[in-house]
Amino acid sequence: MGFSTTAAFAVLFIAGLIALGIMSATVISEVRELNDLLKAKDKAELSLKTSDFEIVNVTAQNVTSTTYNLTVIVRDTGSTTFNCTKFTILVDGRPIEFTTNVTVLYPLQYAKFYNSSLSGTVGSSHRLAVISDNGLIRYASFVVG
Amino acid sequence: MFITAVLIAASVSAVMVVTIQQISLGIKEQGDYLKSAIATNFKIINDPLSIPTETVNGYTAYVFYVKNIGNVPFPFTNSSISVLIDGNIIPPANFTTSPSVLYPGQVGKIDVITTLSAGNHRITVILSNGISDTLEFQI
Repeated sequence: MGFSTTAAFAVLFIAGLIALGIMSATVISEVRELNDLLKAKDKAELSLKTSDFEIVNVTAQNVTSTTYNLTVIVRDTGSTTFNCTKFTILVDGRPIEFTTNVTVLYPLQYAKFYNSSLSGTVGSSHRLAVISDNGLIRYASFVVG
Repeated sequence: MFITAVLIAASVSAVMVVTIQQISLGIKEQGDYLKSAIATNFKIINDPLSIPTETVNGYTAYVFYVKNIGNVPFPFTNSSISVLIDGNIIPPANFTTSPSVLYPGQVGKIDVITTLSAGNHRITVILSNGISDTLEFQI
């Protein structure tokens, strides 16, 4: 009786250790990954609060009677950097292709976005939206000159 | 007696280990869901005063643009996202999306076939993991 009980408890103890090992491996791994992601999210939220930019100048110059060049200059007025290649520009609500003179926009620096094949006649007015890589949106309107 | 005791203990142990393994799998699934929800973020980036339209299969469709501003790609099909306009759900057959997966920094397009009166409206896009964004716009 005594030895049987000891053997049974030994089996249960070993099984308990195995179960504890399985459980702790999963929980520790998940908690670690979640913690990393929460830190990254906090960092992104802080970055969003401290990031800002403004549209400094918009120039739309006609090339032909129906097309124009668009140059948009933005300034980083926040304290974080932007990835200019991940910006999105909408003209009259539609995204346009563009080239930029810098890939990273640093605080207090300027970036120039350029497109040379937009449709519009001289004197036509348009709406512009510039969206940063972290989702900040700034609007402006311009007239083709 | 000894064999019976060991067999009972082994059976109980097997049940315990299997149960713990299933709980671990559940924790992992919940963790994966939470990780996906935390890392996913997007924004409807339309100009609220200038919603473009397109003709899709002979119908007028309003075009909405969605930008992935999170850290992970997410599925972007009419079976993985839900679209509500003014609180009414748009049936999947009435909207199309492209591309089918939206990577970080990428802009996707939703063509919504519906009729909207002049005035203010509200669109909500909900992803498969429940993350949503809303835009108020004017027609």
